Amino acid sequence: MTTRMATVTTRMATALFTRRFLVAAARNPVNVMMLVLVPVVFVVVADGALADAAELLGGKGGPATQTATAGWAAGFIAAIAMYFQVRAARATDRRLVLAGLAPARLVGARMAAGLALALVAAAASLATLAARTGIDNPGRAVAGTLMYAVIYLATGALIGALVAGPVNGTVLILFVWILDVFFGAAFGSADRVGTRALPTHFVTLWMTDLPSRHGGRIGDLGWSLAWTAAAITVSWTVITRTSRIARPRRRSAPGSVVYQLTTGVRMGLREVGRNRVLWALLVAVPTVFVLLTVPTTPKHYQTLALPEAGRTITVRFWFPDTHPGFMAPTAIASLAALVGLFTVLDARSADRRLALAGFRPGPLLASRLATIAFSALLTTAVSLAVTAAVFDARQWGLYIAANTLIALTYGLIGVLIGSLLGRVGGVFIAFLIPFLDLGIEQSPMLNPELSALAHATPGYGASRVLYDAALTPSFDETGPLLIAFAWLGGLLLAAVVLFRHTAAPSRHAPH
Amino acid sequence: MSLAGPPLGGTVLEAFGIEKAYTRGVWPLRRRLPVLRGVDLTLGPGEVVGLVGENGSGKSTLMKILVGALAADAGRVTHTGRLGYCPQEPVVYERLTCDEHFELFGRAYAMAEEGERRARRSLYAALGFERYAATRTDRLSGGTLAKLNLGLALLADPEVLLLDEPYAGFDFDTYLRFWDLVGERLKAGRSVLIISHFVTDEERFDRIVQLRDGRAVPR
Repeated sequence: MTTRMATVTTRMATALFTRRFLVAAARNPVNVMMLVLVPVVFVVVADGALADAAELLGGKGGPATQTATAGWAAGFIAAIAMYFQVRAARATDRRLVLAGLAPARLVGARMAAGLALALVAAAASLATLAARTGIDNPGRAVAGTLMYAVIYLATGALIGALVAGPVNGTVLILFVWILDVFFGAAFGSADRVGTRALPTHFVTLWMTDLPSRHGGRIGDLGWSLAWTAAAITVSWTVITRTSRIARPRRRSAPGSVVYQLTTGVRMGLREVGRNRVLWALLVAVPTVFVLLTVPTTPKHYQTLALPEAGRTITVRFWFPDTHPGFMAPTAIASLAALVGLFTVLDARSADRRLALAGFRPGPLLASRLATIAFSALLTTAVSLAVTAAVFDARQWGLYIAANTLIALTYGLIGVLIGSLLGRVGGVFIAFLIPFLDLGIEQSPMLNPELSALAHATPGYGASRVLYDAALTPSFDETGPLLIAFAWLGGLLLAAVVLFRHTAAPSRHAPH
Repeated sequence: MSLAGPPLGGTVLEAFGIEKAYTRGVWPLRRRLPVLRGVDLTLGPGEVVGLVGENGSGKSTLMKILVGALAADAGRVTHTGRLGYCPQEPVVYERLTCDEHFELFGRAYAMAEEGERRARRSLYAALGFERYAATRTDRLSGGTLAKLNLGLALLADPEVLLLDEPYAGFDFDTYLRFWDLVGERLKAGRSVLIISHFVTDEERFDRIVQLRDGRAVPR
């Protein structure tokens, strides 16, 4: 009974704060006027012209593009409204939390208020559109406009958290909006690779009933909903952070494993975060590497024998469409190996000193491995984001998992190579092994039949899983997956042994 | 046998029969180059001892063995309390700041957070480099880096300090501040072994031990 009452009280409090926030916004008549006036004027004045311009620039044009103007108007207003909410209320929101208001309730109220303002703008846009041209598919138009509003709420919240000056903030919102609208799917080909990452790319295509043909399994609506869900998460995170107050931290015992591990990981990530050249390379190398395979791949069909549902089938595929997906793991592995090598080598002397001072080898190695794993996952994410623009795996989840396995495996190989061979020799080997293994031995283009050597290399298991994920609809490579995990475990064990040998101080007898 | 130990009282650090040889060249031209041939050394509580010797006499090798950074071929080292070690060349993480180094080493020494911060502030003030607290070590001057290098050894106020030419990059004012710091530590009963090349330092040491022909001899 008491719990139920508490829940009701909580809901009432959230509703109360939402109402108060909206009343505060409504007490500025300019706000209300802008919320309604801007979408109405935008749709009345611009929808026809924008539709014509879109057609001229290669887009679909016509009533479909006019429908999108409702979303654009609602999105812009939602971003501006959220920006000012986040900027203006930061100090008072913190005060509310200090006074005892649960942060989740505050964030819920702020988001509800932002969404209500966006709804007003969306309603004004849609009503104007209905009055002017009519709406062919009302359900799609309403849902699309709402998704625009939610995605731009997040944009406004994010810019509000990062940019203090209202001039700079609103100009930045305008810049993002112009990029998104005028370089987006409505103004030109839906297939342009460069514009697929724009926030409302898929929403626009779904709303205007123009299939992208690169939405994969989840389709354009799935991607639109994913963007919307991500926007809600971003908004929640941003508002939570801006209203955050200092809380007494729970501290571990001095000298404990947790105490050392948390500091070690934090400092390791800070170090790697300050290595700007590494960041640029982690992003640039896979991008160039994967995208270059598109024009350089021979234009013909290729076949590959793969297990499927208990038998071996021959998969025939158009090689230029698939080759980027096969090359991505080579780029990932090379970079992961180099990251592993340099992370360990750069820190080796200082790690020894830290171990002498009393830092346990276990947390020290865990800190280094966490740094390497972070960098390897970053390069995997970048590589796969680029790869997704030019390649469509049959099983995306498994394909991502196989690439992640390769990244972690080669990160550990880098650790071992660095410890054993040092800087110069290590760099050569760190470049050579991934190319020999993944680029040559495992390559279906160069080796339709795998050699004995190919079965014995570190990339064998994960590569088999990767090709299975890339080309077939179901998972059939349990054995190779276990082999991949065995490599990962074995390499981890070897790294632990080697690290203990190189970093641990020799122990003196006490008196 | 050469004995280089305190005249009276107990010891906080004892090294007996330390031998170390480096291997040079590749097989079959590999040869062993003996550096330490049975060093005996002891350090008493509240004592400051200078370790001197020609270039290549094995001073840094001996110190690395004493601190546990290098394994001896033969011999035994025992000590009481905590060791603080300042290597000859600054050994730090190049992209972390001075503050971050103190935090990290504070964790290594198992210091409580408040105690580490207090010690850090005191070292900044004593050595005069507080304004570089938030500066990355790859952007520090040689002298400031040497201060950080020393500060990391002193942070936990260890019972035994092993300092390998700690003031090589210091200006004269900092050099004097260093000796003030050492004086404070000695008054508190700490023991200090310093590798030194400065003739002018001789009067500051309770004893001077010289490494000659791989052995420690009093000077």
